Amino acid sequence: MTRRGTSHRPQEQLATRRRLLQMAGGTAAGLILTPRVWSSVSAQASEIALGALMPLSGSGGSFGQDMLKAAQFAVEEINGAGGPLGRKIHLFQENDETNAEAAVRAAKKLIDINKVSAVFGTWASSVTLAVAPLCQENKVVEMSTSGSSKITAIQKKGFVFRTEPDDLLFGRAYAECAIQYGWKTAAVLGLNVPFTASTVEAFRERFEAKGGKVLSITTYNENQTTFRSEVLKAFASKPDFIHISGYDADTESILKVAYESGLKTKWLLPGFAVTDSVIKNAGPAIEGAYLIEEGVAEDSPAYLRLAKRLGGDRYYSYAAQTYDQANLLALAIEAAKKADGAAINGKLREISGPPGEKVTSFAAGAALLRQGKKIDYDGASGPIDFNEDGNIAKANFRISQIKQGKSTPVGLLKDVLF
Amino acid sequence: MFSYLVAIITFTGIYAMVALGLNIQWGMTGLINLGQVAFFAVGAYTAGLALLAGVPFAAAVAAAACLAGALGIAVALLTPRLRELYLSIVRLGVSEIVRIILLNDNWIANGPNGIGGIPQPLFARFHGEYGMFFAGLTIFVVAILLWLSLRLARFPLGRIFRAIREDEVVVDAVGKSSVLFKVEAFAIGAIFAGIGGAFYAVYLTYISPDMFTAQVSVYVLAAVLISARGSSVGTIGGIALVAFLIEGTRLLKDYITFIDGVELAAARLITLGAALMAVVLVRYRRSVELRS
Amino acid sequence: MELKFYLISALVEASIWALPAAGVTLIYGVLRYPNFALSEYMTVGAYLALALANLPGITIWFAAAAAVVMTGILAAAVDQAFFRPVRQAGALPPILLSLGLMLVLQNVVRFVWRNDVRELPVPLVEPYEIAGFVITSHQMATIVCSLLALFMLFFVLSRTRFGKAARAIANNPNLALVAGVEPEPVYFGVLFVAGALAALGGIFLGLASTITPLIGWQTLIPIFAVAILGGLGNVLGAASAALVLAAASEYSLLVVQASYKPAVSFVVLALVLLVRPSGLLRSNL
Repeated sequence: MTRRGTSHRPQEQLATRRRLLQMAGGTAAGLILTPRVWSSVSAQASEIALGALMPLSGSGGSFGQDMLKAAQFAVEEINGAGGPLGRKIHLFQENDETNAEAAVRAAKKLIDINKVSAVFGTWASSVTLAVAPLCQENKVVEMSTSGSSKITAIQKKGFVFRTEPDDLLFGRAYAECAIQYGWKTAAVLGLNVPFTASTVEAFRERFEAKGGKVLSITTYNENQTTFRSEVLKAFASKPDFIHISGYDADTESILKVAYESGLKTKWLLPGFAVTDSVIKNAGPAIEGAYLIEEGVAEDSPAYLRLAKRLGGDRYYSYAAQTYDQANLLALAIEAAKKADGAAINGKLREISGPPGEKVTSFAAGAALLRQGKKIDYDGASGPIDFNEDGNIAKANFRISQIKQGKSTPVGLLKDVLF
Repeated sequence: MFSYLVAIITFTGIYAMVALGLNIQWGMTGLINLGQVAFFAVGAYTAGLALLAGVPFAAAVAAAACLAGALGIAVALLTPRLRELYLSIVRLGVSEIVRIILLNDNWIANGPNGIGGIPQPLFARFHGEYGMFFAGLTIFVVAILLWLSLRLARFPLGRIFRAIREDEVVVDAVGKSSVLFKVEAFAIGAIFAGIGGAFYAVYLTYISPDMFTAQVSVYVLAAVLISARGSSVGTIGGIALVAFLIEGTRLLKDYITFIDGVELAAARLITLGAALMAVVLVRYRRSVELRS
Repeated sequence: MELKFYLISALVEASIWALPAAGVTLIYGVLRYPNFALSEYMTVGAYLALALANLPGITIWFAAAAAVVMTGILAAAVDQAFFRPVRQAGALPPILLSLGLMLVLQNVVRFVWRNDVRELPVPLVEPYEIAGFVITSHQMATIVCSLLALFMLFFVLSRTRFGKAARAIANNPNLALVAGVEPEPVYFGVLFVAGALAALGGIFLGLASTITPLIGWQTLIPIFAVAILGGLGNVLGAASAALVLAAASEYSLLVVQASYKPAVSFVVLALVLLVRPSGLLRSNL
């Protein structure tokens, strides 16, 4: 072997490397081959395996942590009531890192090693889109909280359900709200992610159809940390209101920077972006802002149980959805009398929508199903009735306004349709 | 279990193509490149769009390789003093510019939505066993690229690359234009990454700009740097090690019962980072001790 | 009006970027490797300041100062523990180590403080309007403190014994050794200063927008662009480069779509480097 440079001795580094690889190989083999090891990694034969795939780091991190807690709470309740078909649910959790590729690897592990019948809680639209083919191929149900309209095309192949109203519906809701309040001109500040494009498109269409005008659309990027100049651009044309299409961190930054630049306007914001922390942190900057909140069912017993468990006075959007997703999956298993993905896929629509007796918990629903009755699950995030694509067929949105540091309902937009 | 392993092997193989490319640039020729993901992205999008347009697989991969190579030549010519570390940041910049263009272009690249439904070659033939088939195809291509790398190392061309890494002035003095060879090395590395990108697009059937961030470069970089300088086989070992750490920690975390949720996810990533640091310390400490 | 508004944005952004970029350039100049983990010290600094400021009786000024010092010590300690054993092994090991360290630091923060979006406990303020410029007291503080920090750094590097030793090692390590300079104490000092600067930058960033575990990662590429543009190893260069790139980014909004903004820095960087391959100023401390 020829010598390469003077910095290393080939024999020694070969030895070290060899040792490392040996150690690695040995550990891997040990892990794979030990049967005792397998019992902790796979569910017991009697248990049902479900996979929670959520953003526990990355830009969706602040949502994922609550989404997982809500799902775990739901599973706790479900198992406490005996579980579907008398079997307990074993919930496997994975972090998709708000990244489509990491999500695919994580989903592969869930499907292949943990043998889950369903993967739920995918949040970022790109994650949902990347994982969908995998789920469909393996006949595993995917339940998502993503909004992008681009997902509908994939859903036509089945197995993919969404509990978040499609962006088309959201966009129309923003427009309807603006029309209702008599606002004529709008500026948009949008984060450059999939949901923004479809939402803003739908908003513009409905708004301009009813006489409004969108004066400017300024798109900013995910990894930006300051937005001062972008904000000025939005204000430049002096719109009646500004709609921010983004997530919590950027929405908070924008509001703060606008306030600290002396720029005032009516803000129209997505409810999911305005978390409890945002309201607290933004203080006077968010006073008077309007929120369009999806999936509100705050008088639902399901929501009340969830809120009590996660911490009282917050508005839980995505977490309410994952809570419902877990319940829906369990009820579908009960209804199908089988626990595999295809069976769940076949029953999800039936148990989530009419006709049927309304239930708001797994225990109540399971009891009725065992009597041979039909049920209609209404959950913490709303009535959740899936259409033939697996989307929320019609959505109700609540209009809230931030008054004195609290989110106060001021209106309702019912039955926004596709 | 098996299907999962096959999948991880496939991912590792795809990244190995990218890493082998980086090894030719950095390991062999000393051209620091922090923006390898640019060629990966260009390869992926080119192949994806080509396949969606009905182009056959081999041609799509070739197109990906060509476009990635062309971009490689362009970047190499733009930064003639390729060895300087700080100019490597320009290449990082290029990869960011590529990503931002892909993120914003709604005409061809579909912006943040990415492109999906990419058809997979011979899917109908292998339907049930497609994972195995594709893994096999990937390994086959990696083997070819590895063989090419090894030949390159032995050939006069490879010797010139190594000479450039060690002392550029000598190369010029002997009458060989070092710039030309540097561009060549860079372009070859870019082509490898482009091919990797094509396979990536086909494997996932859906690609979006957020898959091509600097994070990818971090893992590939780690793989190349772990190996002995310029060793192609070492690079494969490096990427296998990185993949093992990433997926191994994923599997291990299921055994941890006392932490949960976001803390568990963070703990896994801490372990990954710490393991990487440990590998470096183990590997390089010995060489320090030996020298002193 | 727009122009004056963008100028303040640029000055604030430059103030935030210049500090960690100076840290990067300092480490590169003296230790000869790019330390990718430095931006994560921004995150650590911001969270430490947050945690301290939320304790009863601690003012934001004290919290910030303490966080800066603590992060500096952490950076130096980490360097002594993990980077020192491989000092002799060339530039590759510390690069790799810093990649792993990036993951560790960001996720330790995430482990302790989770992913919630936070703010420093500093109330929002309305802006002043001075000669057509819209600026808040926070922004003025950021710009002034940043200038002060850079000035202090410059003073330390040019007038103190430590500074001279650091410059000696940067210019000619072998000669410095022969002349009797002890490298490890210098390295300790360099890491302390770099970590402290990064922490300060992180705190200003938190003040200007929000605090999440991602703020360091999001700033990594811009600060390296600034460090490179300024000529690696040149602190004054880093400061000027920060101004140039921040101004270019902000003013680009006049001509390009906002979503292309991150690309602008790189185009500027590429153009400058084509003309002056060593960066704006020469590569020395």
